[in-house]
Amino acid sequence: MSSAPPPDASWLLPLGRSLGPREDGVTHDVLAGRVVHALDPVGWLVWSLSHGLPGAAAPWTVADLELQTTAAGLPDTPAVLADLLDRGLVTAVEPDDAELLTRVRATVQLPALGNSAAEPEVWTLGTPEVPLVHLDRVTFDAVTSAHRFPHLAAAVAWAAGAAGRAGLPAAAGSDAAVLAARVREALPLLLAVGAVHLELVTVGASA
Amino acid sequence: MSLPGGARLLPVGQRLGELHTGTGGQTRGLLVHTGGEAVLVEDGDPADLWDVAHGLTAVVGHVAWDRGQVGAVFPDLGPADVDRLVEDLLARRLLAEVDPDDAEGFLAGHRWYSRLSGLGYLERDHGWVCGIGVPGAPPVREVSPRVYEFWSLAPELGSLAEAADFLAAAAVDDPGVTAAETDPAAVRAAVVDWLHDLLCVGAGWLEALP
Repeated sequence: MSSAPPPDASWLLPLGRSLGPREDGVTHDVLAGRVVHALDPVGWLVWSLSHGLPGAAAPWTVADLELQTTAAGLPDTPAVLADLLDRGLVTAVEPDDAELLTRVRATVQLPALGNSAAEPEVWTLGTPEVPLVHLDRVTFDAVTSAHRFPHLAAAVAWAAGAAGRAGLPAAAGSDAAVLAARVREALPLLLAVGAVHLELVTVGASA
Repeated sequence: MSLPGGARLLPVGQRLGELHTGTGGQTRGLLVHTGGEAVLVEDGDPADLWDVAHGLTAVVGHVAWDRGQVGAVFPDLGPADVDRLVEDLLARRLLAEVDPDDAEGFLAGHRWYSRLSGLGYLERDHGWVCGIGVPGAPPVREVSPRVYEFWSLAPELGSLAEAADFLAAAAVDDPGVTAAETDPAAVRAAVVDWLHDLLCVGAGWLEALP
């Protein structure tokens, strides 16, 4: 049974990570948890577009996705999106959902490049040739350690605690609420450039 | 069949990048997360050796990446210097030295996390390979479908041993499967040799279990 379509203003979050095309060159696999999902070319394109576009700083919404799929001439996006929602390859949340970070687990995919002598306060993810995401130290710590925690909120709490023990002020990220807001703010870009991938938290996971 | 050579030297920990302090400051070293904390691997020989322990891309598929291979990359260091550096990094849980014939403790005590993106199947003259890299760019590494399967699924499993056993069980129904691909002991042995194939391009990292 298909899910009810999410409101246009819902924040779309892709789940799982691409394993690329199979031998037929047509079917694309996406791994979510331990399950490999086969997607046809349209399904894979819609799933890819659910990550957002590089440069987008705001939550990527259903309306944003539909604009892009319409521009690309993809057929029947609502039905394809409903299928992705049903298969757990995309989730839709309210943009101001206060519990969002407890609902998803994140794993960093891009190499962590550290900081630089020119900008020691800026911590980067990307490739040495193409640095893609620039973060403050505490947000960088939360993102790069997120795979060790059952959900992003737990990674944020750990990073904020570590920052507090290091004597950093609340505004620098030692306050978990401040840091959570920064991580949420960074998520659209992190997803758009493939710096992280998300999984839905399994029932029973705790901090 | 295992690659020729001695005990494999494997880097442990998640590379967090270079650490610089102060505007215009010198590099202090590499930050690596291991054992529940970010530790500094000092610039110079320690950081260089930790990097080299990941393997050289042109070599790791052909020989075991052991202490001798790593030492050969540092012609200015004598064997005693290399041994001292290796022992220091082993003591700090930044390296593991693994005898492939006695790897059970290592396999049960470490897990794998994947980095970079899966670029899927690619046809080559010698058969199908799978690409790993950054979408939109050529693969940084082409690996066998079995290594790709490990790279894909191992992060979802609690240890390297669990990953090997899962892959052996999952291969049973694959067309054309060989006995070695479904034998958990054989797959565990193979995993030891697959690691450098992935580590050498930063396609993942090893973490020691608490």
